[in-house]
Amino acid sequence: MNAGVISRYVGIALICNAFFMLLSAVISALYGFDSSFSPLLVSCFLTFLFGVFPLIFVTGGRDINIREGLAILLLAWFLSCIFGMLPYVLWGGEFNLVNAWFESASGYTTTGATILNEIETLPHGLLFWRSSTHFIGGLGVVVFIIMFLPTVGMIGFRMSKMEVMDVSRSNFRYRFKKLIRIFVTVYLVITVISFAALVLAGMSPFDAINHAFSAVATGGFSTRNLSIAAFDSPLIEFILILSMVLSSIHFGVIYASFATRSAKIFKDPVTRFYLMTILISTVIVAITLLLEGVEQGIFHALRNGAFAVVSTISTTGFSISDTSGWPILAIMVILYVSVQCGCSGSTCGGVRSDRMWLILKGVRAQLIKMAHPNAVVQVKSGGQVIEKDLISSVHTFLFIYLVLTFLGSLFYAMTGMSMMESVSSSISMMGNMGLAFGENNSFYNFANAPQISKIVMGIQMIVGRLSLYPVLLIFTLFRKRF
Amino acid sequence: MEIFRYIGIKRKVFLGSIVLAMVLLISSSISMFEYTRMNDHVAELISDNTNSIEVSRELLAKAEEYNLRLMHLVLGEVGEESIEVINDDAFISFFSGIKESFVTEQDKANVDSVMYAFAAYMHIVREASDIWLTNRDDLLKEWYFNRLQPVYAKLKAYIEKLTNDSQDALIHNSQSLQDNFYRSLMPGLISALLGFLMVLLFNYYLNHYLINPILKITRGIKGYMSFNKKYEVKIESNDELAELNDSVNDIIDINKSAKKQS
Repeated sequence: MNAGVISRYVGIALICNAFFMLLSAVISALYGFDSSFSPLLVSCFLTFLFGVFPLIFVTGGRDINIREGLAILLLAWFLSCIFGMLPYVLWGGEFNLVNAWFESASGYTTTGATILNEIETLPHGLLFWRSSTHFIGGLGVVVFIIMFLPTVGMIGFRMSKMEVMDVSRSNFRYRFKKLIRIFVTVYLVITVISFAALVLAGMSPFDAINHAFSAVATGGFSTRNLSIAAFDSPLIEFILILSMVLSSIHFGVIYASFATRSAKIFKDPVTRFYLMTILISTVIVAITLLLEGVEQGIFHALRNGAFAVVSTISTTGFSISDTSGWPILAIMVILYVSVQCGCSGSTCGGVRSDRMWLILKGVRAQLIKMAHPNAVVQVKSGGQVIEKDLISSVHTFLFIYLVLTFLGSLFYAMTGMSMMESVSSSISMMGNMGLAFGENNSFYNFANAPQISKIVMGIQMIVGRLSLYPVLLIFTLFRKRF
Repeated sequence: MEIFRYIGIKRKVFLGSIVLAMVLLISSSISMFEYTRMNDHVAELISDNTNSIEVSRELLAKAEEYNLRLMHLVLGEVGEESIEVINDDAFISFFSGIKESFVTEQDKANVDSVMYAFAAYMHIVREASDIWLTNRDDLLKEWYFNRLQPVYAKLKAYIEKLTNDSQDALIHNSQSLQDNFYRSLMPGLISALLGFLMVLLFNYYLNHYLINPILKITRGIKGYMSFNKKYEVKIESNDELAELNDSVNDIIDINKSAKKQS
């Protein structure tokens, strides 16, 4: 591995971060040079200088191999989280080093969990910076890097094959560079539309831009202590539900639907499976809430059920009601959707619907095979046969994912967190959801979690966000060739 | 990032040094700024708290002195012909002046309570002249013990509360100062750490991109001169070292063809 080349591309990612720090400082200046102005400006300078340093010495134009690509990806995320801490640490308040690490990792990984008790006391500049970390993380530092990388086509393609499952790609065929452009376009369009719709629905432009950043990145940071409940507006909730659903569907499928003026969104089997999961889960949760008397009236039950299901499955983590007091069936449904999550090729984390759909297809095929041992049973998607390798790689992914979630739960339980808190926090961190049950419920935060747990949660968020990349990197370090 | 593609060695070292110097400048500026801010903050907090306590004590002393004087008059120890109501202008102006000495909202609320209690106290004190004129000891004592004393007790309690709150604030501030001290160290520490990391990176870059190529070229030339080994040095960068390498290649080619001719 060439450390110089790695540092060059990590430097480019840091310059992107410095740009958003500068933007946040401008916001701070617009709001009367609030107390976050100098922390943001100093952080911007330090991040920029650290980012530009490798560019002076290391020239571009050299091809990078997959190990270098993985190292760039991992380091870019990790260092972004580290440099993203600077504005928080320099500002002070509730942010000590551990809290700043948690908040920064939660922002970049679009988890949306917070350690803040009083979000509304934060200055505007810092609130904007929090949302900006979602915006940067949502699209992924990798996309920022690839946009600046003329020589990374091959590694980019191989990474895209890991990230963007072939199942979802069946409905569109674009070259990798165009795919990146599509991602950026769809991302920006959803942001702009969400922002405009939220402003029209009555949000202030500042709140609207922050929530638009959060929704498109499926993050979950809000400018209010009570999250979306603070606005108490069904219209705002409806807009955010739409934004969250759109942001958790494969961007390529969305683009293809608009480009070809066809209903590809509904033809894509994975998207159909994802939307059906939302529909069925919402109905189950709403009926449970009605039967158990938690909500009075079908409208309130559907409103709360739909918002909680969409917010969880899209791994956003906005909330309008405290889900920890819900009936156990509703909690189980929420826990299931927090594992399944949205589609690959979107900004959401977790196992993702593509893999879950393939697993269900595989189980069905196995059952048929057991009933008819001599039958040739193939797993198909949209008329195309799915390779066995792909299914076994999904099983491997799910196995590692569940093992890491279990280890996380075990660790948190060891640090003194209750069983419900440990398990739901671990699922939440791995899936980059942000909400948990127990004390860390919808309206509370992780301020009281043990310090060591907060550090590990930050790492778990990054591991979850990067799917298997860190594991792959560690694996490749022990192999000469990959 | 095309602007960084073709940079000469001189500029590379210059820019690298500038970036390092800027990081060090920022880190030292942050440290100095945080230290000064912390210093001012500590001095201001301690000064405010001690000032508040001092003022509360003065208030209590003044009120006690005033009450004692009245008590002496009522008990007839001084033997005055008439009672003179103490002019409260000085007290009021003193109160108004000290209100700004208290910084916390709690202290300010306490000062307001003291002022209201003092106004009530003075309202009753003003009745003293009329009662004095009746020349009846029992009325005077009844007024003093049953009317004036409860109000005075209230005033005293408020002043004591003000003193206690100021002392509590001092204890709380000294505890939070420890946290702030740790926090004020962090920015300087982080930026100094960044500077340190960048020095290490600078060292790596100088070695990898400037010194190693020179050593490679030197070894290549020595290998060719001493053992007639093929000159195969490749330079990653696009700077003068790459030009030097190309020139050495050209010279060796010329030298080879000259050797063949001779």
